[in-house]
Amino acid sequence: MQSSTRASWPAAAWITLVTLAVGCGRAPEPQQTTTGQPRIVSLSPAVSRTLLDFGLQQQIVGRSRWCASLDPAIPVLGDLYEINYEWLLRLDPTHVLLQPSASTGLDPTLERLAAEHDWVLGHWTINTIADIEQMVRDLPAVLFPGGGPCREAAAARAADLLNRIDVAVTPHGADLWSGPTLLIADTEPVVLVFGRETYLNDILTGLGAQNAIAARGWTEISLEDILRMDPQAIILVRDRGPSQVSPLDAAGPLADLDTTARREGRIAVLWHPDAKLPSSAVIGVAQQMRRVLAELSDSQP
Amino acid sequence: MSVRVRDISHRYGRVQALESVTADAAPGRITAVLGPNAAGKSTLLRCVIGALSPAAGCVLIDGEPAHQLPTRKLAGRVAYVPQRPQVSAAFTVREVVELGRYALAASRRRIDEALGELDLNEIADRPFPTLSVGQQQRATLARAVAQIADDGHLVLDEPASAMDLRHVRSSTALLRRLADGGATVLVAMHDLTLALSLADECWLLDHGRLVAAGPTTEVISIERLHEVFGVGFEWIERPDGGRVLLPTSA
Amino acid sequence: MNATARRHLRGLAILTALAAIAAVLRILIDRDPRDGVISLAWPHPKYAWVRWTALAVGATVGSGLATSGVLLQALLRNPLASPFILGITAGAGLGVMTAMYIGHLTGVTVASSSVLPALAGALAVMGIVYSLGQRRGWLDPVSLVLVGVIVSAICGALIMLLQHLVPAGLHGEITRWMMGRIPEDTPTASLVLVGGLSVAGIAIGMAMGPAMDAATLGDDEARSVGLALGPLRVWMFLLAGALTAGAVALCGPIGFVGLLAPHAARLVLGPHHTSLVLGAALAGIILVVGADVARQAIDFDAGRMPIGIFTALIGGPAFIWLLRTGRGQA
Repeated sequence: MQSSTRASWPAAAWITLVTLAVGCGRAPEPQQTTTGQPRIVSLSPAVSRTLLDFGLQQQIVGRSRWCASLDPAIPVLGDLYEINYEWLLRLDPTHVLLQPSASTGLDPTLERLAAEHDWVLGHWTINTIADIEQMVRDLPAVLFPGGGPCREAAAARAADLLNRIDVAVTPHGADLWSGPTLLIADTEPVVLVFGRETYLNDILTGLGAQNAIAARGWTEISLEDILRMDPQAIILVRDRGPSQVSPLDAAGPLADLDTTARREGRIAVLWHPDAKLPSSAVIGVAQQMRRVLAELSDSQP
Repeated sequence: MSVRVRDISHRYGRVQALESVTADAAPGRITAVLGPNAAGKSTLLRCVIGALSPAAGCVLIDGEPAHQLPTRKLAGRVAYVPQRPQVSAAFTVREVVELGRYALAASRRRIDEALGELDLNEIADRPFPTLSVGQQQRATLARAVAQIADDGHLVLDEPASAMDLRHVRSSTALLRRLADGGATVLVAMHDLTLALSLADECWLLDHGRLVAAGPTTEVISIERLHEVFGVGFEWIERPDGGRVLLPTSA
Repeated sequence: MNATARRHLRGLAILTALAAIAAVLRILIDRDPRDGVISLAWPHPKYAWVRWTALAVGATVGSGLATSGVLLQALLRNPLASPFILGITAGAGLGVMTAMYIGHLTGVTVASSSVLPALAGALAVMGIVYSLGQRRGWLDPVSLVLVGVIVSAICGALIMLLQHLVPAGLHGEITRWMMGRIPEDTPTASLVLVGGLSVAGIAIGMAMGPAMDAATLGDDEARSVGLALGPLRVWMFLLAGALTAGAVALCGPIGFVGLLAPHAARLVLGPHHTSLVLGAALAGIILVVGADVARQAIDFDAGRMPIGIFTALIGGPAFIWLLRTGRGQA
């Protein structure tokens, strides 16, 4: 009995196999585009956030797992490291928008699929305010290459956003802190700062302050570096956790450093849900920066 | 068809393991290799089976240098039983014995005979790692027996150290039968009384040097043993007329 | 036919059937992107190539890593040996990280995919471990393990050094690579190369089966039964290394496959290496393709998870169960 039971395992497996293969139908035809409106897949959280400001969330049919600003019901297609190509094909987009990795460039498979299926591939490197403005300027033509009223509306929206960005990063004579300032992105596990050629640096310098860091991009610095440069002000940039938090609580290891910023009470928190997204949300981030610089100016001895 | 050791020397780093050892092991004879720990017994046996290439000298297997013989050809002439059996997979006893025929033509008859000779039929299907050390030694000896031809060479390094008395007797009786059938048997051992009863010839080693080689009764003397082992020995007469050699109590 | 042969046939039939089921499920499993409903359906031709590519990659890598695992567990006489013990994965990771760093320094994309840099790193480490893992002119199991562990640590440190030197925004790339993936866009040439390597590896491994059986004896014993142990170890090392390098270059490090599949196969087939190589390859296919099926269905609405998560979450408990039941003896 035992040997016959064991002998029936392979038979059961093969029967299961044949049943599966023969019994299953075919999946439906992928969605076809009929409305003339763009069907957008955005694999960049920054571009996704900007599309929200353009009022185009309804046109977004797929997103990356990092696009937290979008409706969670929009299907997740993975991210730049691993794209779900099957879902991408089934969603049948007209546009695929992304920020390619600096080290690997544009995904060759994505380029090939875009060419085969006539998708418009929009890609930007977005580090600075100028980069954000370029993206905003490009989007109407990218999304509505044929022109028409939709493109005009998008262009008007883009012009409005550009104007508001320009206003947001200009001091307009306000009494704002202007001294050397450290812009902290993270304090744990290491201290990361926003250096030159970042959008937060552009906001800071646009509003009249100085970045204490000369290096470019996101840079790691040590506590000793901070003590030696002795910044007069420290701004902690946060996008999660409680929006109201004491600066010293948010400062982590920096709270115990004997810096001019700490002695003179010029440690501040800049909180905005999109603070770390180089997108059109920079308008709100710049407004928060203005508020923080005004507070720091008030605490000048 | 013999095993001839010619002026073998070898060192491990600064330690001289063997120094100018020359001796012969003849077919149809059992030759015991004796000596205290670190005398060079295992090193000498490893040179004989071609596992170690000596720094000087050579071992001739049927007239050919052992370390130059192709591995498969050597396997057809020499079988080895190590001091500690080692099988790192859950093969059964029968499968381990079959490994003795790895380089040779398959022979169910030789394997069945070897299992029978070593009283392994009842445990032939048990996994080797689950056996006691004594059982593992019998299985390893069976592998070697299944491997060699009637006139081959069997090299053993303390093959029965963990066996019970009954199996020590049956194993030594098997070695005797193999030698009588034309095999050359070269066996390292610690038990001097067993050497006296089993071996026709002896090689006595001390600190890598061959102290004496020849018929057992001539090589084993109380004075020589005292010199090599640093321990006194005495003959004890048995009621049946035989005698055993035991260390003295002092 | 004796009992052993019957056991092998029956075991291989079961493993083949399970591998076939996993393969069919990978093609059939359908999750609608709009509502997430899971069903079984043949894919539309428009995207069928995605599933077939994933299946081919999964089968190639699963069988390659499993075969490598069998070879290494035999070579090192260690049931815990896996394809990652020789430092090859760390070398592949260092190759990928180096390419990223050069790209960052020069602004030039050194390689649009990680395959070539990973392969270069893996082969370089193989060469180093081969040269340093010898004793008296022959590969020595203990030396191989020690050198492999040390080289792994050194490569890991160099990866961390390069991570420190590149901008923080690039850190995620090497981290994601280290989690492993099933690339559904693998070029046919790469698939044919690595797939051919896996098939050849299985065939050569099976041919070496009797020799690997004899190699389970102690070194002197193995030589005394006629096994040329030195050359065999070289072949085993080179073959295991090549299979691992190909798999890791294609998919990054996918853990547990090379460790678990040999033991799972041993449970079904016993210790004879000829059937064990084939059985482990099938078990590797079952594990990797099965994990890929699972990750199509389970993603917690956050996108599909790295396959290494599933192979570890399936493989880990399964391995503990094997250990606790005392099965899968080496």
